[in-house]
Amino acid sequence: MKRFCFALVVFVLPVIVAGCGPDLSHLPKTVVAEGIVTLDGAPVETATVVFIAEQGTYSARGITDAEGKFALQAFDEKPGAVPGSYRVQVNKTILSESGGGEDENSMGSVSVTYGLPKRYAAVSTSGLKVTIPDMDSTDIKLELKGN
Amino acid sequence: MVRRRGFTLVELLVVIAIIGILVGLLLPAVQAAREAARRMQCSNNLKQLGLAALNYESAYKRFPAMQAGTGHIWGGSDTSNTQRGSMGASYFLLPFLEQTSLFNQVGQLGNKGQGREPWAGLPLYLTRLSFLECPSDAGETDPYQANRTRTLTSYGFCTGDNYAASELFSPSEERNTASLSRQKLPIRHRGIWGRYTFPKIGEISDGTSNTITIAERQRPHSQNTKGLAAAVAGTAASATPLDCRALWNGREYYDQGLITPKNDTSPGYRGMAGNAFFAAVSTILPPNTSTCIIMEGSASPHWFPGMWSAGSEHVGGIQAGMADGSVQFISDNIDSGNQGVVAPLATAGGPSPYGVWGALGTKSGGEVSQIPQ
Repeated sequence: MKRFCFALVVFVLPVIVAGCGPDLSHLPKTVVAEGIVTLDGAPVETATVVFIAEQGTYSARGITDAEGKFALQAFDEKPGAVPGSYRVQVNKTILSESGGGEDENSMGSVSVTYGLPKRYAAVSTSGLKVTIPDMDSTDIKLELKGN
Repeated sequence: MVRRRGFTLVELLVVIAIIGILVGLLLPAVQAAREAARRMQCSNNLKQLGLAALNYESAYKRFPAMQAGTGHIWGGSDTSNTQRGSMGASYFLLPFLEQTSLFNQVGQLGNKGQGREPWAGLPLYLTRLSFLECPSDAGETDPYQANRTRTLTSYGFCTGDNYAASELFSPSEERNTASLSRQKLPIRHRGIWGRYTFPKIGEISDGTSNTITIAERQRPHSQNTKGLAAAVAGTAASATPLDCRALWNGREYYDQGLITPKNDTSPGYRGMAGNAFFAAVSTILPPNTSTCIIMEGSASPHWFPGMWSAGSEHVGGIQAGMADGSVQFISDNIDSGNQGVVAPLATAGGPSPYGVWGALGTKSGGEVSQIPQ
């Protein structure tokens, strides 16, 4: 009986457990990639960080929290980004609305401005490049300058 | 003593317990069956709309425009303008959906005298139509502006993989210009539908069974849910799909403050309108993710370019009507290519950067993609 239980645990259980959860083997290996966004030294909240792969198609994205920290994600199925070299754009949207509302004849208007210098919002002008190493990293620093 | 045959208490309890377990197994299945029925009705609506578009094509040898209509976009003090150039394809298809009398309401009123906000009083803009509403979508009043709710809709017309806009020029230039002719210029997209464009079926060179014509675009049911649009500061030349995707945590937007407009109608609540904001579906971000308006400056939000993502309340994907009249289920996990690339220009040729999903949206991208089975 003891042997039977042992066999059950060793052979059957892994098969059952392996059946749980999605198969992610078609996705490339990812590593933890976290960092911080600062503007003139001060952390930036709700900035979107987009890493665009210089080669390949595994771009990654993240959004900063109140302390300016972000964690990159390349796939919906699992966290982390694929190691490699990336060009980076950082954007922050500031929104305000006026008019509209319950008055049918009032044209609602929305105003959108950049919360960071505009050049950082496009990869072609941001000038930011980051290489994600082949191991977990938590110290990616995106130090933006006001002028 | 007569021994009476019967069940003991234990036997009875065991039987009740077994029945309980069986009912417990059955109940979730019953709920799933109800959703399956709703999904089927939803797919039937798509089929009707797709066939209506094909019947329209048979009658006029062209598909209708997604956005067209009389009058200035915004007439300023001139309140005699009528349809604000923003009647939708769902309006033009009405005669082919047995709603001719509703369609004729506009004609009876003539081109003048409906005021600046024709939708405020006319039943046409307020009537709820069963074939525009997917029963899985629960929302009945606008999550942010209950007073601006009009005809409800759960469907959008596919504009392909470019950032579809409702204005050709900058808002200040187009909206305020006196020249009506500029406001009537066509806007073609890489998908079938556009503004003041009436595509022939021959333009769908990717094949009608490989090109989406109408797809589900879920109506948001409450604040900060799927279907609402968030703003991304940028232009159609700089913003990438990931700028939009980064705002979305899989269930809701990280920052509800970026959802817009909160002072005007939300998507899904103006079913007769033809603005891309209300009527378009983009094959850019994969189904059931975020929707974004790309803009900078100050203007009415309903006219800007954006990524109008497909969405539904069904589990795991959306339904889409193809140009051949069939309806297909498309998984959330469909290959959506490189999401870090800025979308091609509306006038550009060539294959879509957004994988199979993008390829299904373009009418003449030259891709060989088919719906994965």
